[in-house]
Amino acid sequence: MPHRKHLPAIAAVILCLSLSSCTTYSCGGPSGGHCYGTVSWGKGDLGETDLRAFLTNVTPVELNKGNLVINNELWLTQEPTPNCVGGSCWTEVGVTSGACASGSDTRYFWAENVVTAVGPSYLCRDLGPVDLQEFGQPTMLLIARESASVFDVMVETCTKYGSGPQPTCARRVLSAQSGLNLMQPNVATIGMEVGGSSGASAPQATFTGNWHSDPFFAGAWVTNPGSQTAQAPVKASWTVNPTVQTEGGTWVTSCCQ
Amino acid sequence: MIKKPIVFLVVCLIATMVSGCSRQQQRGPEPQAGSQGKAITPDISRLLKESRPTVPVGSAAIKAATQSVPSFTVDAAREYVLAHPLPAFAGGKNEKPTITRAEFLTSKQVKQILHGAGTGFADDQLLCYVELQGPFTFSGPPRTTATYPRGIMIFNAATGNFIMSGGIP
Repeated sequence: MPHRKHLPAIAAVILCLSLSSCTTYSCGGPSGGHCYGTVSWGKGDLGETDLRAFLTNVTPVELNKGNLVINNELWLTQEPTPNCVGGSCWTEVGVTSGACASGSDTRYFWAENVVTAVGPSYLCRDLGPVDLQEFGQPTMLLIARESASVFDVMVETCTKYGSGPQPTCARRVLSAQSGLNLMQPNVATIGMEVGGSSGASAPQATFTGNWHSDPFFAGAWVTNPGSQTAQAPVKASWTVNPTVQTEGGTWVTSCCQ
Repeated sequence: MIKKPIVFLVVCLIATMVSGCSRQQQRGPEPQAGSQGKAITPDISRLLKESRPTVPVGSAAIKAATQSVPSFTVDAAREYVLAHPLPAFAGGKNEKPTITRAEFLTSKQVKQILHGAGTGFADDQLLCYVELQGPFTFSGPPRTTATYPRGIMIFNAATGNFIMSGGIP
């Protein structure tokens, strides 16, 4: 006979098991320890001496943050460096449920952990919700260093770089500038991040048209499979390997069933 | 002797008509749009030239009480922040972040607090700035976090929409 004080916990477990979307996992909490399904390239992997820009086409899917956060996104990072808090400077852009604020719908966002001439900060910006028509359609994510201390961050919905038909939904451009940003990126990363312990879910999303540029904005499709991470419950892999002559390969992510 | 070059030219002409007689280059600026089946590669210079920073819409948060600006009170902002805490709070399990500052400031004033980082709004736009005692930890790419002692949440004073959050020293 279970003790009465355990009844709420037992009830929660039964309720959790009865709901197909209620999955438990160990992906840290607010202090970190998140799970990732990502692929990263150092600038050397991409044959660049200066990684000035990276672009990917992601298909936004309905994200459910569970009890913390879930993102599909692109990061441009300088690591390691003593300049930024935590030893890395980064700029990120993508689709989220739970980043920036406590809301749970699926939204575009961008964030930066930077140091300016005055001091460091981490800032996360809510770019608004993903429109219904944009789910499942390619959306371009771009981070590019426009000048020595200015990064441009762009989300171009219903837009695809690479071959094949263009999406028919209405295109929107969400653009922002990361000013006084002295980051010298040496790593590009795409994929999924999940934080928390239960309830998150995401159907399969694709990252295609992965493209990088040199200091003169001349660029090339990614042809290197990069350094891959797939930490349960996140599922992530190449379904089209970029080493085959493709337009940057196809990286897929999903969670958490 | 003469026939072979002619055959070559004809073949080349046909090839030109069929394929556009140019291989899609993978480097350098490319056409803005292509027909189906032809790869469109990014022209970053053009993209950056044509892009204009978008004024952030944010997400619905504090309910507007009046038509004027600000459309809500500082107390309403405090109430909202306490009810919807910043998820990055990394204090103890039974601790909660405390609000240490809440006021209406112009975008320019907020920019100064944020060490020059922009808000996406014009300098004279009124924003609601709320500062919290942390710590707050933010996750980046794999194996990366950044912890700051103070957290911030910023709202559009006209709409009450949540605009941005973050951490500062």
